[in-house]
Amino acid sequence: MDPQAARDVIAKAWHAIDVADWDTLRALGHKDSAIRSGATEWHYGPDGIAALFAHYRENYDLDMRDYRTIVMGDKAAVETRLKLTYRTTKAGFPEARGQSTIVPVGSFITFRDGLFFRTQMILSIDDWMRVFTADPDPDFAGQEGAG
Amino acid sequence: MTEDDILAIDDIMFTAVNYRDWENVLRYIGHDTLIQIGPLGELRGKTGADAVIAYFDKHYDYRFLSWQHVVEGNESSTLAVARLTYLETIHGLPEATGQVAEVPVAVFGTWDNGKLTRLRFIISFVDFMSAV
Repeated sequence: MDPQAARDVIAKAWHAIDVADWDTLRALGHKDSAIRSGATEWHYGPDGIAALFAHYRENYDLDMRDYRTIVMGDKAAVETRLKLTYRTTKAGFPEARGQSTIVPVGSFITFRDGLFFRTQMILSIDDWMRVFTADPDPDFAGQEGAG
Repeated sequence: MTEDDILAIDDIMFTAVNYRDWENVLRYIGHDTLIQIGPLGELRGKTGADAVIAYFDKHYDYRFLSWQHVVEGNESSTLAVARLTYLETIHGLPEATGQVAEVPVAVFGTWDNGKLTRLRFIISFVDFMSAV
C-alpha cells in the first residue's frame, strides 16, 4: 500500500474516533475487518469496530490528535498519546469531573484493499486507571449525561 | 543505518532478551536513551535499562513468544507477545503464586547512528490482571 494512502486512511480513522463520526469509521473498515483489544478480545466487522469506540465514548472523550505513524508495505504501526477525559460517570466508578490523563496506545494495522483489515490495539490498564485520580481538564465543560 | 539494519537489530534484541544476553541488548542503548515503560515511568540510558531489567527479573519470569516489526526511516515498532510468570508479589497487586499470562506488548523506538534515542514499551496488563 502506498505509504501516503495508508497515512491518509489512518488520519481519517483517528479523526473519526476523535469526533465520534461512526459512519466514516465504518466506511474505512474492510467488510471482513477485525480489531483485537488485548490478547483475547476481538470485535468484528465495521459495525463491531464502530461499536467498540462508541462504547468508550459513552463515558470518555478520546482526543486522538497526538500520534505518529510508521508504514511498511501493507502494515502500519501507530503510536498515539491518547488524551483521555472522563466525561460522564460510569456505573461503579468514581464520579466524573472531567479528569484527564495521557494514555499511550499502540495500534498495529494490516490493510486490505486500502482499508483496515486487522488491528491489534495495546494500552496499559495502569495508564487508563490513572484518569480516575487525575486533575480535571481546565477546558472541561461539564457532564452531558450519565453513562 | 538502513531500514533492513533496524529490522535485523530489532530481531536480535528480542532474541537476546529471551537468552538474557544483555550485552547484545544494551549495546544499542545510549547514555541519554529515553525509556518509557508503564510501571516504571520514564528512565534514561543504560542505568535506566538496568533498572527495567532488574524490575522484571525480580517479579517475573518472561519470554517473548512472537514478534513482528514495522520500520520506516529511523522509526521502528514491534508487536510482540510475552509469556509472563508472576513470581514475586508487586505492591498493590494480588499475591504472586506463579500465575502465567500471555501479554501483548507494543514497542516503539527511534534510532540515530546505530543507537536508540527513545524506547517506549506499552504492556497490556489488562490480560495480566485477568490472569492473576
